[in-house]
Amino acid sequence: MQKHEHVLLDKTTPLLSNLDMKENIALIQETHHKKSRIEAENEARAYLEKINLAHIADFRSNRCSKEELFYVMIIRALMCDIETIFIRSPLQLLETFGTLCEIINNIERLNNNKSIIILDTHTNFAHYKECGCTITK
Amino acid sequence: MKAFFESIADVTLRFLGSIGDVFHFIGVCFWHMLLPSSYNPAMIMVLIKQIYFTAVGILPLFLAMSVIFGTIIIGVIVSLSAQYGLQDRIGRIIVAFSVDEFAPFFTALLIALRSSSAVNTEIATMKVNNELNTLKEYRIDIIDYLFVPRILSGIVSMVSLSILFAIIMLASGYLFVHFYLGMDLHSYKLLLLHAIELQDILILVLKGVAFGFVTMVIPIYSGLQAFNSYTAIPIAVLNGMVKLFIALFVIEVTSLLLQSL
Repeated sequence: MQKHEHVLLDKTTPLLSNLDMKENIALIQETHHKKSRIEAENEARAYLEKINLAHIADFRSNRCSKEELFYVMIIRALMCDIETIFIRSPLQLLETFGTLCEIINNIERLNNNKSIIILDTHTNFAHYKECGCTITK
Repeated sequence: MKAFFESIADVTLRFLGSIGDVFHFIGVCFWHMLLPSSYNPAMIMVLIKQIYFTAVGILPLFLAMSVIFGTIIIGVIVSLSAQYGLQDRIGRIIVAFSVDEFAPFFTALLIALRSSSAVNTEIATMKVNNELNTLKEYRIDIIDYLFVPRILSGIVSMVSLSILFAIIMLASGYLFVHFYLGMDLHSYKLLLLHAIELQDILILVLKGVAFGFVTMVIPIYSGLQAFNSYTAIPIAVLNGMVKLFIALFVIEVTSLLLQSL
């Protein structure tokens, strides 16, 4: 499998609405690594369990909150054979800004040695100040 | 006058360009169908689901329609044949009409109305919702994952349902033949077995493949033409269905012409 430089995660890369959450995550493993559906879905469930979201595994997008969808998008990006993940304007994907630090902590729990870079405008700077992540202006 | 000819030339060039795009798209899809790398677990799952939705989901309606239309149409054929003194060729007439013409064409119309419109809407919605962009961003080939399974399911479903329709139509036709001509089941079976030729089966399968291919390729192509607005979805579906029905009639007429040669 050819290594690509980065994958983008923003509002132009939504989850597929005809798949449930575990299928959205498993799709990457099935197509990129030719893993069987059962194996890929079990891996997807394991990732969701890490952040206590195993209950949404069988839900489709319309039954999930924006935060839950965002986590699934992150896990899907982590499944890729790609070193760097760019998250562009995450606040556009979330319902409340207050959960941002918790989300960043959860991303760190999920991450397995990939570079995750959040791109956002300066006006949203205040939301990241308390989160303890490296901020580059 | 010059402007008139320019507008005609412009329309012609755009029409030829769009025809060229369609054929290019068909060629690319066909090529991907032949590549072993197109067949991954996700694609196979989509293929199974599509065959289920296209061929299995339609069965109750399809069986009812084939019994009703089979009895009525074979009844009409038999009574007309008797009226014109063609009793000795009745078997051949029934087989030629039901197996070569009616079964594949009627199946194509049913699948076009039910599955093609659904596929057209699905692809247009995915385009408008940026879901196709997601697949591209995650390096998932949309032809392998979305299009090839739908096209294959269209071909498999169309061929199998056409054969099923022809069998049910011929079987239910016995009801009419029995009551109208007083023919027993054994004589009816012999009549059909003597009338049916390998060429009929070949025509049924080839038309099924051609109809199956276009009932999926045209809606997919049309769905891809939707621009990024929800109002574009019904327009894409409308355009796709009109093009599909024209294509179905073109295939039917072409097959009639080829058979008459």
